[in-house]
Amino acid sequence: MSLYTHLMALFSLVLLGLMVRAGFQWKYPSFVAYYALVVAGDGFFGYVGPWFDFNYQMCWYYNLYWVLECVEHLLKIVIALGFYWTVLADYPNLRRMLDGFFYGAILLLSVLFVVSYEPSGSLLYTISIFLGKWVFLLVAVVCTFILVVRRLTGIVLERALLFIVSGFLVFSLTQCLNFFYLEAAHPQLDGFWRYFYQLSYVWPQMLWLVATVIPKEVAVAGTKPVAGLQGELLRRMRRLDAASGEALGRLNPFRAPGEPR
Amino acid sequence: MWQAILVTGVVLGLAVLAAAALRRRPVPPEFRALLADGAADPRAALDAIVPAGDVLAAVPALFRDDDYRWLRDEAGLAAEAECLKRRRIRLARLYLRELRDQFERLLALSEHLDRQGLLGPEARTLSAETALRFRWRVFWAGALLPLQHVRFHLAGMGEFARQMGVFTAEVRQRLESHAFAAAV
Repeated sequence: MSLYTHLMALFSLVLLGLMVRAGFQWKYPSFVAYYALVVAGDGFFGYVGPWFDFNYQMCWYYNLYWVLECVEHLLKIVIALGFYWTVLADYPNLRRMLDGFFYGAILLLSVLFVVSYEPSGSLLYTISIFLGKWVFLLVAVVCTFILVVRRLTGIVLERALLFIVSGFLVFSLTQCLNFFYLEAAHPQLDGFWRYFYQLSYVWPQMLWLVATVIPKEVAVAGTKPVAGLQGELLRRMRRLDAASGEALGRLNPFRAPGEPR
Repeated sequence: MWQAILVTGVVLGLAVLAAAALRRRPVPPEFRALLADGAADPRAALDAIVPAGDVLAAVPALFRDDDYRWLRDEAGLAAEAECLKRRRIRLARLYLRELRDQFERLLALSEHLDRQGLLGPEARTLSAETALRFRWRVFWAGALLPLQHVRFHLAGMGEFARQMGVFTAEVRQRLESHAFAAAV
């Protein structure tokens, strides 16, 4: 194994420790479970297996590898859905407004997955490889969806969660490129794409590292909601909202002039 | 191979969308300065936002289409009528942009107050819901605007502009009374 692989394994362990230190196991348990599983899998198959002369000709060893892959993919689905539910936990009405788009996108991806399904001899292999790339696409869609909703609605995300979501987005996008593009267009990786593939797991880990060390935003002690100010702010927002509704109503080409809206 | 090309396009689209979503909110620097950490009073930021009604109240006559119809049907000046129509549509687009800009500032203020713990949970929820509804409406209004080239009727905008003028006057009056109370 190369020095780079050893360094990445060490870095992953340190990062896992930092996550535990930051208390992520209580706040984002599925994320920490996923990361711990990845670190454990890498450690076992990268170091323990060769040390004890286990090899992929052994049935249990081979199956354990693919089972771990499957569990990782399932955990990624749980994490992605968990992000959406966590972000909108305090906004039930907003969630009702967005659920149609969100679950619609997931349904669309599921249909695409089923339509392009290609079964092979091993069910575990099929799930791990074939489902895997679609799960990455699903995670990319969900993370982008969360960032767009945050932008559109002005929801304030906790900084750590923002970096975790961004990390997952980068991770899933690069893995989608690996699975969907590089596999088809560059079966033999060399030059730029070789380094792209090698480094594709570094950037998300960097973002997760930032999430573990970034200081929490703490409200100034003694502050409380300002009734007059927030009331005026909301009144103005609603007025602009009403104005946009008026504009939309008046621009509707199917409404005859003078017709009530 | 078609799947590789399609999904690569989707991936690139998602990357662009996410990058756009992570950009800073487009508010003028002077307004951003009012929201900077340690800024004296967030009310100053709210006062700095001129209600959108000011834009329309000054030009209500521009949102009428009777003169367009008169030019086209009665005066027989079809080319001038078309020119008038194009300018009115451009104005409507500017109006929507103005609404959006003002909303961005209000949303930036809302985010700032939320971070400072100055926004109650109910206000936070209402702000997010209003924002989503506003975006949806402005998006569709902007998308429908080009259709006005085919079927033009902005006549109702004149009355709407007058209503916005009344609202502006109300807000001004309230702000002045606040300022007066603070001074006393």
